[in-house]
Amino acid sequence: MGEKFLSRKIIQDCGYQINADVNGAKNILRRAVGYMLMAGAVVTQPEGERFVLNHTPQPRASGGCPPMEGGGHWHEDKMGFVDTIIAERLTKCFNGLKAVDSVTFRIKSGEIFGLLGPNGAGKTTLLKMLATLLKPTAGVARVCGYDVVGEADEVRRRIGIVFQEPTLDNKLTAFENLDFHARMYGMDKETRRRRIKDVLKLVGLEGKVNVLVENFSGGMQRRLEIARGLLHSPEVLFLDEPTLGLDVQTRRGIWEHIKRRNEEEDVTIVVTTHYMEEAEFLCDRIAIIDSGKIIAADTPEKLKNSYGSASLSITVASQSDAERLAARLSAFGFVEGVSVRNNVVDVRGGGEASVPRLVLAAFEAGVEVKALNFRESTLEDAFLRLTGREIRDEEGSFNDFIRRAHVLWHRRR
Amino acid sequence: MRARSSDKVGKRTQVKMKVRVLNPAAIYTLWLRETIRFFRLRSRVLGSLGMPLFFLAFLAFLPVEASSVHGLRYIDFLAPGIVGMTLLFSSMFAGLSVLWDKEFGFLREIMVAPVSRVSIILGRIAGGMTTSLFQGVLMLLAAFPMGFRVEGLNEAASPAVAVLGGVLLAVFFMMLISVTFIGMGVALASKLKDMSGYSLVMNFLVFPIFFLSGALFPLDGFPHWVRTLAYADPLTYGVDALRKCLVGVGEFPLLLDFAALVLSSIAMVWLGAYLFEKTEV
Repeated sequence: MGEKFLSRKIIQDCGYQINADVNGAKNILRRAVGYMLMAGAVVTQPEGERFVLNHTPQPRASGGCPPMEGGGHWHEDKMGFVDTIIAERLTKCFNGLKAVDSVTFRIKSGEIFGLLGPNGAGKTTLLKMLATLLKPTAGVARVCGYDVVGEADEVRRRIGIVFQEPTLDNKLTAFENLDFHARMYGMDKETRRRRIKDVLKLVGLEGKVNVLVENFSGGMQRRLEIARGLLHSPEVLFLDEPTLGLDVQTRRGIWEHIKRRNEEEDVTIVVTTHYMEEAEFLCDRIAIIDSGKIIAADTPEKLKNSYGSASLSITVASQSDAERLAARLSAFGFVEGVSVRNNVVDVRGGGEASVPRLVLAAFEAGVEVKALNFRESTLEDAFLRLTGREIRDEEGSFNDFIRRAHVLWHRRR
Repeated sequence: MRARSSDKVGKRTQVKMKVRVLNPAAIYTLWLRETIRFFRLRSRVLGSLGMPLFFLAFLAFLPVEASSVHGLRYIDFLAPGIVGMTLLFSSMFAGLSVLWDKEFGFLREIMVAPVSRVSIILGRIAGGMTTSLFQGVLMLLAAFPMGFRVEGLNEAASPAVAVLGGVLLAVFFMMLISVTFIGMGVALASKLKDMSGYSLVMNFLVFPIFFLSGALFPLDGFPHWVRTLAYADPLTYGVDALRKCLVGVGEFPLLLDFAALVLSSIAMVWLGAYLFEKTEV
């Protein structure tokens, strides 16, 4: 389609610096750039007073949609755009501190997308911006084809959210909580009754309809919140640490629910977590986020292969044997690192296929192999390699502490 | 291209404008929640009525001469003031309940719903008005066993009309009072980060408003600057209007009370809506 021109003002307004003095125009400009970005425009070098948007239209499906790489499929909304969520240079500052720092990504329709990161990485802030609860300091985000700032109501209509902290009204019953939600989303009486029954059954709480939420256990509250998030049949479901502080059984149950909703109702799901196994079990794609930046985004498999490393532990008879073997093995090209602990040699790199070669090398060196222990590359390896090993301080005020204590106290009962 | 794209966007903006700013269903939903909660938490109702009730009960026996309180028996002077006090506290509490919702997370559930912020405020006002009106009327009824008599408006044709009209007008003024202070509560709650500011508001705002309003004693004999402050206090006009409606005596013309309260309600609701609009949760 060739090149499109946008004035400096428009570009600047979308987080490419500069300030807009006319507030009303700001949203319109913002939206204009959003549309262009959705249509596949790419911002390139400035040319004098103008910036160039290289407009390369994304492939349109006519009739059957071709499958997309990494799961998901083409989805066209009414504007003819492809991705359900688009974030372009999304930034959020709190008191000059960048919680989310110029993050760009796209999420396809029907995908389960994970935001994995250490505490305080900016996952929740990012999620809140996509869910229209925080206004971005800079950048553009579109959900289901609508701008999260200028068309917040349209976005809200189409999304469901389950927050990290409980957001139920404890003094209302399960039914009343769901009924409140359904009424707020403008559902009529018949639909309300039917959907509430459906979602309660979905999460196995149909027997607790008229029980006050304060009498629910933590897991039951979580399930009720997920039910509520699904009540208005959203196109996108945001889950912020959905299984934080839950026992293994409940966690499994909730994972199953999430997967099934994604498969049966084709809901696009964005989930933040800091549990590796959760991200791996659930997500089609994972973005690893640290200090407000996405440092890697791919399928769990590819992340493991590119950033993790398999390791083999070879137990030999003595330390001197081990040292001799280590010296020999480090000569292999595919080996990334060798270390010796007493009579054990740890070899990183390679993969399952490299095991025979390593063992053979041991035989050739005349070292007797007592035991072998092969460990596949895990997401945790990849995660640690990408984010480093230092421990993060959990940000939180005294008030958070009080609230958490309160929540725990209620859950225990 | 630029012109075309802004054309398109312009059209879409117009469509968006049609998204209802006033959403009656949502306002009703918020009202429903507030009332369900109110009647479920009976101990809280009892607790909030305790203080005005004891003020009424103990002060009713003060040996105050009728001449010093506009020629009224003290109980007749006091009861409308205590009703005003009840409305002040319950409305402020209703407005500040935004803070509770913030604290326990429910505010997020409200904020992500596709409902305009104006409707959310109006829903809260509707709910808060119902519950504080209920408490105000309860307090009025509690005054009768202590010797309170409704005289009604003093310019009415017959005693029956005076009493009925006076009570109805009083209920109307009670609504205006509660709207003013719910608006103020919402405004404060939007600015406060957490519950720690709550006692600050109670002690440094609510109590001065209460004492300056002339609910307990007439402010005639007070220094000039105290009276000036009292004239800036919306509750002064509220209590004055209630007295005029219920016992027929007041400091200002009823029309002035009405104008002052309408003005303060509009100002407070506007301020509340403005600050609430800007809260991020």
